[in-house]
This record gives sequence, C-alpha cells and structure tokens, in this order.
Amino acid sequence: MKILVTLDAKNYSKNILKDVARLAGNTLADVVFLGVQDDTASPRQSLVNTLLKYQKDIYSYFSPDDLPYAEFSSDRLEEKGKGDWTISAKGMKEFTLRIKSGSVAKQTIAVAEEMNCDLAVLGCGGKAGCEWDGEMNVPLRIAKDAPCSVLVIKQTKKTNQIVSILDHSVVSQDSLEMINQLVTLNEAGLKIVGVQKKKDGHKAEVEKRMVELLRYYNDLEINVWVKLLNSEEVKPYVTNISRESIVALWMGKESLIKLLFSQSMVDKLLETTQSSLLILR
Amino acid sequence: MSNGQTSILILDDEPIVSKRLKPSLEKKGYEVETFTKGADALQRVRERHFDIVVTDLKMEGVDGMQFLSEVKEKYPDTEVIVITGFATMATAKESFNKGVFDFLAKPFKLGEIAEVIAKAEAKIKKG
Amino acid sequence: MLKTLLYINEDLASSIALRYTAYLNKFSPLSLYVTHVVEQTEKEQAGTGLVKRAWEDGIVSSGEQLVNRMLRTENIDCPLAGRPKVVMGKREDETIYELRSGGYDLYIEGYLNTADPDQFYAVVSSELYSKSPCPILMVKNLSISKKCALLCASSVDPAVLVEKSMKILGDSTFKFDIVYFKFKDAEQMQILGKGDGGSNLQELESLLDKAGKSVDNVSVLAGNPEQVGDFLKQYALAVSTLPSRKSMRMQVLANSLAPVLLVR
Repeated sequence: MKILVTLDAKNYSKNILKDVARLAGNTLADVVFLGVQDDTASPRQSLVNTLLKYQKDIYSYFSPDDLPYAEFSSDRLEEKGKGDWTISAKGMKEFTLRIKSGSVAKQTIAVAEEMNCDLAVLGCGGKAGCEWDGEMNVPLRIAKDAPCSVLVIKQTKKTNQIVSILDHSVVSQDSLEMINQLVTLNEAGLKIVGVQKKKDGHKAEVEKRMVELLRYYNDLEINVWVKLLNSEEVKPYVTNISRESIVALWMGKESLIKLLFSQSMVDKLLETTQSSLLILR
Repeated sequence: MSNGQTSILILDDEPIVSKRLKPSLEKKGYEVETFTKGADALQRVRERHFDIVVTDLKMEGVDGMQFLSEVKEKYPDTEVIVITGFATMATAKESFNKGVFDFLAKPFKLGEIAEVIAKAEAKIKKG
Repeated sequence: MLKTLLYINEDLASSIALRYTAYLNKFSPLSLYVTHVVEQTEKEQAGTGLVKRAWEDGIVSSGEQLVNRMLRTENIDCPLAGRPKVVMGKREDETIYELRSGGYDLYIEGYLNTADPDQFYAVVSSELYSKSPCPILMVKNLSISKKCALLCASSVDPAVLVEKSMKILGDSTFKFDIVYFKFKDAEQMQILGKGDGGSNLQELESLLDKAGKSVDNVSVLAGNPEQVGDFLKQYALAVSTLPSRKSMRMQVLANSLAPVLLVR
C-alpha cells in the first residue's frame, strides 16, 4: 500500500501523526509526506524542518526492531524539477519527504496521481471547519478529485464503528480492501447503509450491491450490519452517527451519494463530523 | 526455475486477485499458477517447487500462516510474499519471523507487487 | 426440532433471512419449510375455467422457480423438511393460513433495518403479526454472535416473555443476557445499575432462574431508541413481547440491528 500524507505546520496536521503511524505500521506502507509552499525558488527551511520533525515523530512511534523505514542520509532535499524537491530513504519500505510549490489541493492530487497512491490522508481543523491556512476547502477539493481513496482525519479518537454509505454505483475491490484495513486497524464493526431514492428504479440495484457485499463479508466470516435509508434520511443520519463513527462514502462517477453530498454537503459534513471521513474510490 | 522462467504460485481465496495478477505477470514472462483454495495450493506445493509464492493470510479452511510455514519448511529457498487485506503489526512481524520476503497490505497497484516480485526474482538469481 | 416456516422473496431481506436461518439452525435445530406467495392484482388475472387454471399453474411455477433460484444462490447449510410451498393469493392471508394449518412453532421473514419506525410499526401491527399462532422472527441482519438478549422494559410482561421465548430458545445453545431499556434522550447512552431496572427486571431474572436458564449479563440502559437499537447489534437476536402500540420500546425494536424475535 502507498500512502500520501499532506501536512503543514498547523495543529490539525500535527494531530494526525499518531493515526498515520498506526496506519503505516500496520500496513507496512510506503509513505510520502507532502508539504506545499508558494515560492518556487527553494524549499522553505521552516517547512523542511516541520516535515523532518514529523518524520522523526512518526519513526518514534515504532520500536527500533519494528521500524520498516530507513533514516535519511542527509537533511537536504534534492531538486526534482521546478518547484519540486524530495528526499527518500529505502528500508524495508520507502519513506519520502516531498515539497512542491503551488496550491495544496492541486499538488496533493498531482502527487497522488504520479505515485499511484492507494490512500491520501490529511487533517482537518476543529470548529473552524476544514480550511487550511491560506487555502479554502482543501480536504473537500482533494476528496472530490483525487484518483485514490481519501481519509480526512478530523479528530483522532478511537472509533469502534465504520459506517459505509453505499448506493447503486459499482463498488471497487480497492475500496473494499481499504475499508477492511480500517476495520482491522480500529478493531471496529462495519455497518453498510444502502441509500435509495424513495421512488426510483435503483432500489433493486442498491439491494444487489448490498447482497454482493454481504456475501463478500460472509465468505470472509466478517460480521457486517446492513441498514436501508431513503435519500432524504441520509444527511441527518450521517450527521448523527459521525459523532462516534468513521463515515465512509463511496463516491463513484455515477454516484447518487455524490449528488446528495454536494460540495456544500461534504464541506458541511467535514465541518460537523467529529470523527474521520473516508471517501472511497 | 525451469527453462530460465521464474515460477510463481499465487494463493488468494478472492478470485479477483488472481484474475488481476495472473495475466499481468505472465506478460512479464513468469510462469504463474493460481489457486483460490489453500488445500489445493498445499497439494501443488507438495508436488513441485515454486521460485516465488504469493499468499493471502486470511483464507477459509487453511490458515495462511500455516501455508507459508509449510512452504518455507519444504523449500527454504522459495521467496514468499504475503498479501493481506487485514494487516496488523502482529501479522507482519509473524510473517517476517517465518522468513517472508515482503509483506503487502491490500489494496495495492499491480506495479507495486510486480516490483516486489522482480526484487524477489533478483535475489533468487543472485543466489 | 422447531417446525419453522421461512418466507422467501427474491430480495436482500430474504437473502439475509435464508443465511441467518442456517445460522440459527446450528443453535436450535429446525425442521425448515420455505414459502412464497405470488401476489396478483385483479387486473392481472386472466380467463375462466381451464384457461384460468393453466394461467395460475404458470404463475405458481414461476414462483417455484424464484424460490429455487434463491435456494440455489444462497446454498445454505440447512436442509429443507419438505418441498417449498408456493401459492397464489394475498401474502398475509396465505401466510396466516399456512401457519395455522401447518402447526408451526416459528415464522421467519427478512426485514431490512430502516430509519423509519412507522414502517416497522405498520409491519408489527399488521394482521400477520397480530394473528400469527406462533412467534415471529424478523431477520434484519446476519450475526456471528452466540448470545441472545431478552429485551425488557416497564411495559413488558416478564411471564409472557420468559414462557414464550423459552418455547423457542429453551433448548438452544445460545447464552442469554437481559437488556433493560429506559428512555432517556441524551447524546450518550448511560449504563445504569441493576437496581434501576425495578421489579420487572427482578421478576424476569427469577422466572429465567426457574426455567433453568442462567443469565450471563444484565444491562440496564438509559438512552434513546437508536442508541439502544445499536447496542443490540452484539446479539444473535433480541427477544421481546410484541409491542401493541407506538411506544419507545417499539422504536428500540425498530432500530435494533439484531434480528428481533417477537412473542405474545
């Protein structure tokens, strides 16, 4: 698994390091820490220091015998291209620091595409919503356009339930596997909520998807709970359960959920949720 | 390694995994056999040697750890790559203690596993 | 063995019910029959005499194919005690007739958990539920649990709950917990002491003891129906008496993620 983590110096970034360490440690993932700055001339030293500090913090979560990553040979990032600097260390798994110039959301999506990552992770502010310093709607824009699943960590409390909201759109194998890893990592229960429009032709398709998922999990001997909601019941339901659960949304191209959770809704959800939001691809 | 072709056994009870991996690895010139049932894979391993074994950990019937132990016991030179949809630090540790070459958590891209297999192959060729 | 009738349709609820029934069979051996009613509107009815008969045979035969398709797809590990019973008519009437004439101990049907308690109430207050001669198990989800919850509240008659539920579960290998529900609208559900359960809880424990059943755990919960319904997901099933009105307990049962066994 390859994980991209976009970070800055704010608390919402600092606070996710423990979760990232747990995720990386359990999945033995290749990890890229990405920092984004405005200027293109050279990597800003304060950002380099922040990322190096985060790297040390992450390494400190592992006992020396369990650390799958190597130390960097130096603290200097090499220029990879214009406004693009990087340093890597290859142990059993690879750990990379990358700094790019430009917009946070755009560069995160670009690096996610380039490295073919499986999961993009980022933090999100508290009561003030999910605005990153100097840029609006960063988590929302990444969630909308990233080529991979996106985990927005709002509050780093342990949750015992993952609620996956599903409609008639196709469920990818990758997205199921991503959920499975989060279920394992959090030792959480999994609830699958099917969404249908009250009067629509998709009812049978939603049920078909749910039967497929049920069979999949039954074969794996994993207990999941299913629930069926009408589309207008989804928003209050999600707002309610997000207090104690990680909410996972399948957002395929044809997704009804994508329509339901319009930009403003995802943004609102990110604002109101007290836990984490996983957008599945 | 017969006729210079590296042989790979893939065991995963989700058919989609083998379905995705087999054609892509065969294209790269590997000889690939796939299994969805641990017992069948175990039987095949008892019959012949594979250079590389790719196995899932969580399967119905046969425990993946048990399978990997048996492979390493019978053919210590076979490189085993563990793929798992339910990764934990403990399972990773146990796998490495049993001598696996690498441990990949699902989901992963085809390129990622192809890279790991190429590394395992290079190690085998190096002797 | 419990003589059991399972209703099958070609949908998610039946898919879950079939699989769950096979799971239940491991804990309490079932003599299982399946049924399906082909419902026809008046408009769809055709002809008279032989024509009508041939048309009806065709409809029933397609119903049999549906049942067989479901049985084949789910391929459950629980043998049927007889041929599937497929008839034409009104589902509710035909099912009540079959339950009465067949002398069944238990009726099982799938019911998907929704956010709408009114929908649940409409089902449990239907003729089928009020006239059924045996308890009804509404399968909402699959389970890997080995425990059942007896759901008690101030509105539950412990004597009916114990007597009727033990007829179904008395010989099973399930373990038993008691969940006592008190309504409280708070952000977080509270777990109270046993003393807060009152006399109904004491009576329930004593009746279970008399029935030779030990209780593993007693939880007195103060919360809203959704919280308590979610709490019940750890159980293979929750047993309660059939709610006769739109009460908070009815809403707990509506919100229960676990299958619900209704006795009366």
